[in-house]
Amino acid sequence: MTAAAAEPALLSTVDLSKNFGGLQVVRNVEFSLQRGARHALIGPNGAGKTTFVNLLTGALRPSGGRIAIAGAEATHLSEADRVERGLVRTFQINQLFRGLTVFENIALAVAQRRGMARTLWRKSASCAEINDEAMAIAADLHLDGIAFRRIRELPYGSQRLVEIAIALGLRPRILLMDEPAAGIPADERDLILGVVGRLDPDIAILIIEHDMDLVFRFAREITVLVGGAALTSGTPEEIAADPRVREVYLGSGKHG
Amino acid sequence: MAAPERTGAAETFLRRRDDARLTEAGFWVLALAVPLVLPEHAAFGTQVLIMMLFALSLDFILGYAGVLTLGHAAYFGVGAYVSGLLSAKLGWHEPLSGLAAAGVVSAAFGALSGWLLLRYRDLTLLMLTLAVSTTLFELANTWSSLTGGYDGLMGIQIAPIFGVFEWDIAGVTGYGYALALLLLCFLALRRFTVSPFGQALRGIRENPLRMRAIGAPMLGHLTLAYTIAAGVAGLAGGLFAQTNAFITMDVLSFERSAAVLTVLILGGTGRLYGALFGALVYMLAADRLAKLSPVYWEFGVGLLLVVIVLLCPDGLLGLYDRVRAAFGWRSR
Repeated sequence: MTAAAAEPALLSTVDLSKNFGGLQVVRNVEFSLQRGARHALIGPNGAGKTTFVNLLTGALRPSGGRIAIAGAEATHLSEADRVERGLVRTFQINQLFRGLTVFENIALAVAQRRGMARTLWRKSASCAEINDEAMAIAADLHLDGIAFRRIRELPYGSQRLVEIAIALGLRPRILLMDEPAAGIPADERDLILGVVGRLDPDIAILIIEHDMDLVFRFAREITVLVGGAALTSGTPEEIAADPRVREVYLGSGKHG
Repeated sequence: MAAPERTGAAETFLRRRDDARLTEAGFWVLALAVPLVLPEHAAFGTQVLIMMLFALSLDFILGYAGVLTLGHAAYFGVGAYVSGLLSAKLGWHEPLSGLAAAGVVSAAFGALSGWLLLRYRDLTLLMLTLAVSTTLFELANTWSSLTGGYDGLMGIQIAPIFGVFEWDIAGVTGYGYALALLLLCFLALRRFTVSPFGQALRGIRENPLRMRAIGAPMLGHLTLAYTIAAGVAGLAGGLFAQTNAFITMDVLSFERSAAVLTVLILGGTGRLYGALFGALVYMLAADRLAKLSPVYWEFGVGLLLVVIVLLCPDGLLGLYDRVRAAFGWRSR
């Protein structure tokens, strides 16, 4: 046992399941993320990837099984409590504050994390601690040039970056990214991948992605979800070589 | 690690968004001039100011937090009955404490009802707000020995303000009283809207799902905003009872909830001045139209509403902003 393995996983699930009526969408998934993980969750459409993420964040209640954050029981924590413990997500379909500027979008997350969202009698303009941090995040993601533009005026690629910037405003320890490059033209994907690649190496990142090129460039570990169950986990090389994975997933596009 | 010029840029942006403009002074100077120039219209002006205050309270939750309600008159009515009953039944005639009681009781009622209702959204919430105000209306009707029911609550007497300013027949004192309260509430609400909490309310309006995902306590935020709005609506109601020295159940009526919503749509939401400007336009239109046709005046108001909504969906102040933008002037 190495020292790193002795540290409890930042996020783990035991026997996690979710049924919608008679339909079992997530089946007995055992999963864990260590500090600094670069993990990808892949699987064909309808494999239950997004449902799995919704269970992790607390947006959905599991039908069975347990979730732990940093070794502590978290199955019944609210979404807000999980965010406070460092579990943060981004969305497959942009969930932004469209009528607000890039800066305001990020500042909302920063104010929340700093416990200043209930501050009633201070002007936002004088809250330098929020404004500095929000602008620093914008600059890190090369959004500072458009910091004061409203989201709905921005091209889609920039909106995808704001999606990540909001999450960073919460200083995540665990970051769940649901298809961060979804809908972005191929030549702009490197921008997103570059941003993800430069994130704090201590953050445990789980990326849900369809784009195999992106997955194999990013991930050090891959879990394949099929029909709601974890088919297998392994390094990218192991996954690429696994005949079952080829059959259910990678091969599906090449035969046909 | 943040470069100073970036921080400066954020502060400049926020100041430009939030700071008072010189043109605003024009509004308040005009409001102050009304009783001096047109003392015969002071009583009507007072009613306009009360509507402005009521609409401001709605703008705080509707315009900023995006909470749509059809029952905002509930809080206006609670305030009106609290200050009215204090005087008529308990013999407490001092105006400022009576008004404060109206605000506090109404805010408390807002906190309780908000905490229960704001777990729901959209149509469900809309129906629940309607149900609360309808229930209060029927309660006032059933309990007519106390409230006076349809006949109205008689015997409200208000002592001079600070024991000095006597209430005059023309209503100039009442006007000054209402304007002072409106200005204080406006300044407080403005302060709230430019704070981090005000920003969180805009976040809820723009995307509740994402607010939840960043860990915001939605029910807590909304209940706090609703409590503040209910308190201000209660102050408006209390002011209404004190300046008219008479109230009927119509302070709780659905028509009043609908009227304040109309005011906000006319003026434009989420900008505070939309509430003020909308109230002025609505009250003037209603007054003129009622003189023209006491029976069908609401048809005229409805027509005005349709025209405004079709031509400028973000209200008259939204139109004003777009005209400014078209001429290349600095916009909000």
